[in-house]
Amino acid sequence: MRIYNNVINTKGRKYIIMLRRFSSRISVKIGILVGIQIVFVISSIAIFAYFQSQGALLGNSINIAGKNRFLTYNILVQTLKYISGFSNVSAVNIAMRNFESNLMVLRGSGNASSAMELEPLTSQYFDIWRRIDFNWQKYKEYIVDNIIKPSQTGTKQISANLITELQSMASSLISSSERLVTALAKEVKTDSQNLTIMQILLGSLNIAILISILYLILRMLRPIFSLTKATAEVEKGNLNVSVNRKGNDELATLSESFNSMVYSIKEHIENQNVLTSKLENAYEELTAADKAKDEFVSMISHELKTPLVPMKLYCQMFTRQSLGSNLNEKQKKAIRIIERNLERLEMLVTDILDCYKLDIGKITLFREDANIDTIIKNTITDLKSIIQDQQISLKLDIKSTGTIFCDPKRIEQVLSNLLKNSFDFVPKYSGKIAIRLRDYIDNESNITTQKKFVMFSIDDNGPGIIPDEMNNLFKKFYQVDTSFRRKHGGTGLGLSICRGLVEAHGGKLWYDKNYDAGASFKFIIPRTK
Amino acid sequence: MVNAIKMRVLIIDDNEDVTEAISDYLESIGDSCTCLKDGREGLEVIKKEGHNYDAIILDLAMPDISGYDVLESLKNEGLLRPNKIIISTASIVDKDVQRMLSIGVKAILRKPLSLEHLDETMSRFRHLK
Repeated sequence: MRIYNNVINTKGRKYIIMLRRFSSRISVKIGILVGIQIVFVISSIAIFAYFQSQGALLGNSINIAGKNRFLTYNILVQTLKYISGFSNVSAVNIAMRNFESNLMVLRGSGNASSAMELEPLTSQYFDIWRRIDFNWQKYKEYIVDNIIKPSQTGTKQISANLITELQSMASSLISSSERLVTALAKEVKTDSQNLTIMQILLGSLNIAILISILYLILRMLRPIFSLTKATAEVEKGNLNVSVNRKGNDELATLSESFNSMVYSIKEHIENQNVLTSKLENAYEELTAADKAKDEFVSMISHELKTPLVPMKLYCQMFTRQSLGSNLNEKQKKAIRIIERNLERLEMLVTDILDCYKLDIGKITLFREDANIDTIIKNTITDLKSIIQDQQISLKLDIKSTGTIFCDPKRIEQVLSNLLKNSFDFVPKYSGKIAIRLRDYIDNESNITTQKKFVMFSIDDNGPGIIPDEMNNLFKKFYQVDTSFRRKHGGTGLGLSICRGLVEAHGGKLWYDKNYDAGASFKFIIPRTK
Repeated sequence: MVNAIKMRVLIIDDNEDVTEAISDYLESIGDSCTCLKDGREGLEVIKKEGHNYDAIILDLAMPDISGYDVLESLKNEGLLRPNKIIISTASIVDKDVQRMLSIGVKAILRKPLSLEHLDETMSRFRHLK
């Protein structure tokens, strides 16, 4: 039962919703208003037509009633003519029949002579008509008694009294007819007054309906006005607007959509503002952090290097004899040791700072299309004295020429570091080092983005590196043999810096496990941006 | 070894050991040196009697008024003569060097400087004299 009720309710609600939806349509609203106006216009026309036909009918009645006067005179004239002997009695009879038929027509029971339409007289005029009829009967009777009947016996009574009587009776007949005319005329007047009033009334009603239609249309269009206003506000950038939702029609739906649109725009902009301010903050923080890093690098560089200046200068002054001319050999040796360790310290400071700069991404590369030959030449020139001292045979195997896109000073630094590394490991006086250059294409990237590289390979005939050590090779401060540091110097940062510099160029540096004649380090540098 | 061309050198560095070492060396080769240990004083001296010096060795990183500030205010007052200035700096931040080059200063002594480096730089100024 309950379910059944629910079904009905659901159905009923559905119909109500449908109905409401239907009645809510703007087209329906306008249709209803236009329908009202059409009905009103039609009924106005009908009312006017009715009044007009009423007026016409009354006019006809007045016409016919007015005819009575002429017809009465006609009877009198024909009677007098007969009395005077100018005509016979049949003319009197015809005149009397004419009057009688006119009287019947006036009453509405006879046939109208012309196309005039007549309605039977209403009861208020019937009394007057009966009065006319009464006078007519009296007149008729008198004529029949004193004129028609004697004429059948061939006698003619002529007396002054008879004529006077005839005249007075005709006169009262006419005056009773005139009374009808007057009464009808009065009604026509009243009718026309009523018509005027009706016209004024209908006119006012028409204006009222038009005004209400206008009002309703404006009311229906009000959402459009507020929407237009709100849209202009939104255009100006004011998003704190909303349109009142009224009714259930398309404009209401539009208003609602507009409101939700403005709301989502507002929400979107707010989200964006939040995001923007977050980004701004993050950017400021990053900039500040970046600046702090720069300042920190400058500061530690300054703090570490400045104390070296007087030490180095004075040491050099001693060795240049300007200060040390009267030093003994032991003192000179001490100065040499101080100087050597100063150099080592300077190198360490430079390497540590390079490492730090690479780590925080603060290394700046002055990149250009640098000639490979020049880089190789510069590197070897710088190392010439060591190569000669250690009697190292250096082989150049260059199958790749032209330019690479790099900071040449930094690539020289990498090459020089790797070569110095080899110098330390190759056998004394029988060291062999080869620098090989080859074109290289990165297999890992796909064909469309394939980049051209130049591969540098530094191969030596040293002991090489055992597999256990390979993983540690590029770790900072790591050295294969800790006793080695004491013997050869070096900071243990060289390989780490080399790898960092190569990677900063978009290249790679690795130890070649497959090379078995000694150690082999390889790195690639891109030819173009 | 004494140079034929003698220079008047103004050395501005907050580290007195540094100014001492440089001036000791330059005086040992015949130049005359004036040492100042802060930027404010350095700026005043350069403004007043800068024309008396053939070369000015200016440290970039000084507290209060740094070498940059000195150069900036000289530039703003139209008193900067870049070909008299030698910058001494320990900075490895490349922006710092770029900034110097943009001002027009071309001589840079990178700390820790060596006598060779100092000789080479000073000789360029000697030839200008």
